[in-house]
Amino acid sequence: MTQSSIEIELGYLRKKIGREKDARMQAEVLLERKSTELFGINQRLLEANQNLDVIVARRTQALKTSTKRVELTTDELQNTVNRLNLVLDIANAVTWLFDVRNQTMDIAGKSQSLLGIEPTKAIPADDLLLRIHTDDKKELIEELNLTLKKGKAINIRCRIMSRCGSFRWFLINGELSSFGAKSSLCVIGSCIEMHEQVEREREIWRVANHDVLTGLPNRNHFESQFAVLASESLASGEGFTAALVDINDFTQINDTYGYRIGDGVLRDFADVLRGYSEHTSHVARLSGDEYIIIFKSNVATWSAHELCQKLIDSCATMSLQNGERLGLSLTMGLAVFPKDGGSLDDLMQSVYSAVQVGKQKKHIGSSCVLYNAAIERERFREKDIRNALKLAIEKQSFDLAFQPVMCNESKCFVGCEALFRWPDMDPQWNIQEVIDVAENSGLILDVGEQVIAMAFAKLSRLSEMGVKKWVAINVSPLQFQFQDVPQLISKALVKHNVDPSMLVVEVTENIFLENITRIAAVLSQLTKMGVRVAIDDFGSGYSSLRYVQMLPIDKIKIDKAFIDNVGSGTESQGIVQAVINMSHSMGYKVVAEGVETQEQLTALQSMGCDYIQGYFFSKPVSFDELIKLDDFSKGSPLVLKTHLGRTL
Amino acid sequence: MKGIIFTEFIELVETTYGFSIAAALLDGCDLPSGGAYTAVGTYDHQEVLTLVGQLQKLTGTPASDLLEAYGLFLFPKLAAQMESMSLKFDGAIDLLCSLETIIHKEVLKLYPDAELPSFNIQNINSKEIVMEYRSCRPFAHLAKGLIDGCGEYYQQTLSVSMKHLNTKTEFHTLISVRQS
Repeated sequence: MTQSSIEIELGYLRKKIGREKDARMQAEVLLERKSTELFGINQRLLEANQNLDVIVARRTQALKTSTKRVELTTDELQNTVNRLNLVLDIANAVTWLFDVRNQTMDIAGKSQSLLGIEPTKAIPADDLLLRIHTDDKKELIEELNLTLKKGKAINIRCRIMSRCGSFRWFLINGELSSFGAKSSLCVIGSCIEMHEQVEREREIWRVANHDVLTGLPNRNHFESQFAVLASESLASGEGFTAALVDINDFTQINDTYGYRIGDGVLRDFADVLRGYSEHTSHVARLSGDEYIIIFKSNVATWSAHELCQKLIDSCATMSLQNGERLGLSLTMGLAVFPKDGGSLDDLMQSVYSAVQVGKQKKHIGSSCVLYNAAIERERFREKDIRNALKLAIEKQSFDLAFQPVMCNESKCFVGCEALFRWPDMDPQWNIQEVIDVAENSGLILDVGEQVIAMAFAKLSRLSEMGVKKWVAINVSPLQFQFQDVPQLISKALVKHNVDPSMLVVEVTENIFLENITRIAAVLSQLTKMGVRVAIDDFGSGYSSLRYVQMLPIDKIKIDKAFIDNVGSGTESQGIVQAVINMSHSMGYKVVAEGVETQEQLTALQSMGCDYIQGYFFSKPVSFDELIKLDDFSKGSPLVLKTHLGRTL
Repeated sequence: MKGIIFTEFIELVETTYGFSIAAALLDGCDLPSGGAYTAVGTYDHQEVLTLVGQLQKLTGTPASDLLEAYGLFLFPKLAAQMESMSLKFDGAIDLLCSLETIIHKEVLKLYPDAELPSFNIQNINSKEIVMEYRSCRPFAHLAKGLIDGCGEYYQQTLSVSMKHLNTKTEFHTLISVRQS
């Protein structure tokens, strides 16, 4: 290497060192700048990092809050679901969802086993319909269709086959709704098991609507059935025959054989009636011994009449539980709907009227009476009397007539019988007929009260006049049954300040049909007050000397029917003599009613009859006429001149 | 252009031609930087062209050859940096195929202001590719030298041929690489 080349290289190296220094300085400046940049970047990174931490912390907190909220919501939801499931479980209920598009039924709830359905997701609706009771299926489908078409809520009871294969009652409720993300149309609801409740209701209904003894429908049930029957009949234009059956004198069966046997007879009789189910649409027990039979519309009235006759024949001999045989006497009344009555009340009135006609012949045995024009006329006549009576009671338009009674011993008038009169009465009617209607309709209670009031007013007048003659008033058995007669009389006695011994209460033998012990007690109350009691029309009804003996009576009035034949040498005379003798032996006085002839008077006097009453002495007269009778007011022996112009 | 290109070029000149040529080279060029380069700095690419042109005058070696020789010399230095970045490839073709998709992306992360050429790669088969070089700078031969250096680095024999399609606005060269 030459000196010059060495110098060149040295020069290069010196320059290189200089360049390297410059380069290093450049690098240091660059490094410094980069360091500063890096520091700045680092600072920004730190800030960003801190910001990020804050954001992360905030986001984390928000996330925790959301998570907590979701957890709480989930818990609440779960609690609600648990509660709902518990309630469903307690109520023996399930929820159901009918998917309209897929025609599937989704049933949820622990009790779904009640329906005999496995806990699967959804089952075809047709499969479930197979489990619905045939009688309920149509109604359920109609309800479902109404819900789908008109949005009507479902509320229906139906029977569904349970797991064990038997049908049980369920209450199904549901409403139109939507479900799922696509808001699919559905009907959603509940199905609550209420078998026991329905069964109880049915049992309650059965007990409320059926006679416990015979198991037949009772009056209440019959009336509601009749409403349906009547509307169907009117709609179809096909009438039907109704028959009211009354067992004659059933109380005697109870009295004779006891209630147990009596109940057995009623049960057997109900079975006999059931035996006619081929011809009847309804049979019901209306009261103790009254039954109603509704024949099918295709059973003609004459045919129904024949069937009733057959029923009567089949009851002619019935075997009792004690082995004895008994002939059951029936009174049957038939009427046709709507011809004889277009409503329940009218039809029942008709059959009752027919029965009443039959009852008049009950002494000859069973009878079957078809309602007819004559009965109808009679019924309307009674109705007219009833309406006029009501008006007369309101207006107090009754009056009394008095028929004096003569004492056979003193030959003086000793008292009189007050007889009911109605001055404004329609002349077509007679007074006995009016009294009968009043008795049958219960109006006798009001009439009787007014009679007592009027009689007391006259008694008071007699007392004021110083005339000591007794007045007899007739008191109906119905009054004894439904009114406190002793209290009624007691008040009147006080009010009018009348001597109680001047009042005679006449009762008919029909009173014996009542509870004799109670009647004896009531009559005793009267006699204790000083009032005297007489048995009226003795011999016309349930004459029983045993009963007479039990009652605290003063007089016995022999029925006019016996008196009519006295003196003519018939057997009536013997009977009258026997009654007089027996009455005297028991300490009772005897009054002969309806004495019209001298022969009758003579005979009765010779038989020792105590008192005589009748046209022979005086017809019933007004009070004013009564007191004008010299013999009555003065109390002197009769001049023996009767209104017939006869002298005793 | 990154400083390493300059520092390594000076290093190549010093190693290959000696200090006297290196002194003549630097003295003969009126470089804005004065030839004081640091690897981490950034310098105008015109200085490389000036240096290569001056070296061509001093040595009589064509600029294209000088650039290819420089690429061959430079590749191991770049490979060392690549390894420090944990970039690994199965071989030369694999690396060349990943030039645009992986290596340039990583370079841009380090030097966001770097101005890199684009290489559109056409795969002929597993051992042959065509690289479409596009740049505003005339460094297609430097690219060829680097490809050669890549083959040496992986000890694979590569046949590299070039077809220039330069326009007035762009340097465009198709570089075919086949591994034999």
